[in-house]
Amino acid sequence: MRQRSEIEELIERETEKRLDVMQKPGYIFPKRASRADYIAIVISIAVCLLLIVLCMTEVIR
Amino acid sequence: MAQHKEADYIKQETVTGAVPMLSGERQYSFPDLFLTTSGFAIATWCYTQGAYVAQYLSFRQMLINIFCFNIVWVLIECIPVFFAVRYGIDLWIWLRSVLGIKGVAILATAISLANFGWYAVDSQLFATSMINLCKGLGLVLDPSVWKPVLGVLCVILGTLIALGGPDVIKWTNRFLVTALLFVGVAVVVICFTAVPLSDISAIKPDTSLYATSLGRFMLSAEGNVAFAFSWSTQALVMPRLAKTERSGYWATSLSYGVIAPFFVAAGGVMALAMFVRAGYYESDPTVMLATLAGPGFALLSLLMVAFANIGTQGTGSYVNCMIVKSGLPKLSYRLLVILAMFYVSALTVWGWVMDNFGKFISMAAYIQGPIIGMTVVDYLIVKKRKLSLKSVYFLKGHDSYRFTNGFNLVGLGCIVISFVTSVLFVYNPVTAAIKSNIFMVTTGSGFTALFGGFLYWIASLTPLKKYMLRDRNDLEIV
Repeated sequence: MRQRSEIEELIERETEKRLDVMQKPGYIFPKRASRADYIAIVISIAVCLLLIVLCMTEVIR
Repeated sequence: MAQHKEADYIKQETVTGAVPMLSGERQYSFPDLFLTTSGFAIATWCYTQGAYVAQYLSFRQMLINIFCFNIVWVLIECIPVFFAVRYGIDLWIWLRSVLGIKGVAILATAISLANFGWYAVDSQLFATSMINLCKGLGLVLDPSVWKPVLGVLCVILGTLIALGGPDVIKWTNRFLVTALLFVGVAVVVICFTAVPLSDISAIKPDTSLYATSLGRFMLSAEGNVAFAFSWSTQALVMPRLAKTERSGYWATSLSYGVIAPFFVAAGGVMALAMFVRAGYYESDPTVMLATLAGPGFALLSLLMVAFANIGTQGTGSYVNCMIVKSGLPKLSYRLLVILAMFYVSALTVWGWVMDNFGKFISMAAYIQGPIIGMTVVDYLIVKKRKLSLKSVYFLKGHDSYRFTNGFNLVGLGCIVISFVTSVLFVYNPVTAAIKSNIFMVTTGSGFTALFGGFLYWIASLTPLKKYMLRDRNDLEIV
């Protein structure tokens, strides 16, 4: 029981430490996705939906 | 010595636990994450899925059904990967703000227990294929003895990979998946050289499933949407190891949205080729390859089935134990992996899941669907990509996500309402009964996601917004 409580404290301390690091102005977050990524997602979904509609309407049999 | 032990424990908790991972600690580049996730996505059940769809659709419709429904839903359900990569945490940590800590603990455990059913099927398919393979090589094994033995062996080998953690998984999959992708391409080539494409295209779809072409197309789509959903709760665990948002998102999306469907399509092509050659549809790749290409390809099928299933067991055990751990962070990762081994072994020997696979998977998709819808709506519209990280870890003085005794009643209510509405008024996955024409547009599983997201969004426009967004004054890390 005592050991479990020590582990809990250890995890909480470590989490707090890491969040403090992330909060510092100098912390570099992983590189963000760009507009090109979002455009690629939208185009891919649109093309797939078009093909699905063509099948549903039996244009593609 | 004690300090060294403590440092090791923290490292283990960072890689395999719920502690956020900092930018400098990330291990996975695009190829690493892509190969690891693909290793998870490639399993024998892909062939079973492909063989099922192949019977009811024309060749072109089959390919569009498999690829397009999977790509659409996987691209949508993976959008929160951007968040997972940015803050080094997985989906289930973030879901504490949508479902509450106890809601996550219950749903994460329930969904993981259900997910492990896939691995019992995986190990049983491994055992059946191995027995068929031995038979082809002249060695007859008694299935009543060898099926459970080989199935459990598959689980144990997968457990050894999972115990090694992400680094072992990465290196295992780096070699294994590269080989399997080549094998997958070879399989399709063998099918088309064994049976002409014109013969495959000329097969008339089986109309016994539903009277209209649209009905058959959407019932097949239901299977593919459920297939895409089956990754959702597991998909956002690995990306926390990725170095950039772009590599995390595309590695995950391409694995589940393109590589897994590629193997589903390969299963469909093989099933059609088998129909042309033998007059029946077959979903066991070892039988298909032996029939289409002769016993010389026994080794190829061994590689394909054995390695793929063992790799899937390993990565699947890691991912699902991580999910349980995100809801119950005090439990040891190693203990969870060992418990999972006994649980999956028991399911394998029992065999119930395999016999009731269709119902089991469809119902799981109906729980995962609303979570997908709410996740995307919460991330993009309600919380606008901002979360209180300190509240999500319940640090002292940060209580935005305690909700009602650990349950977010709005989020949980949306899941229940979506589930019940879909079963009663759209499509019942247990009886396969279509309840309304909405199914012909959204499918049943697709409706659960759309409706769950819609309800959650509507709730955020009512006075419930105060209950849902208590964190707006606590956004210190953005």
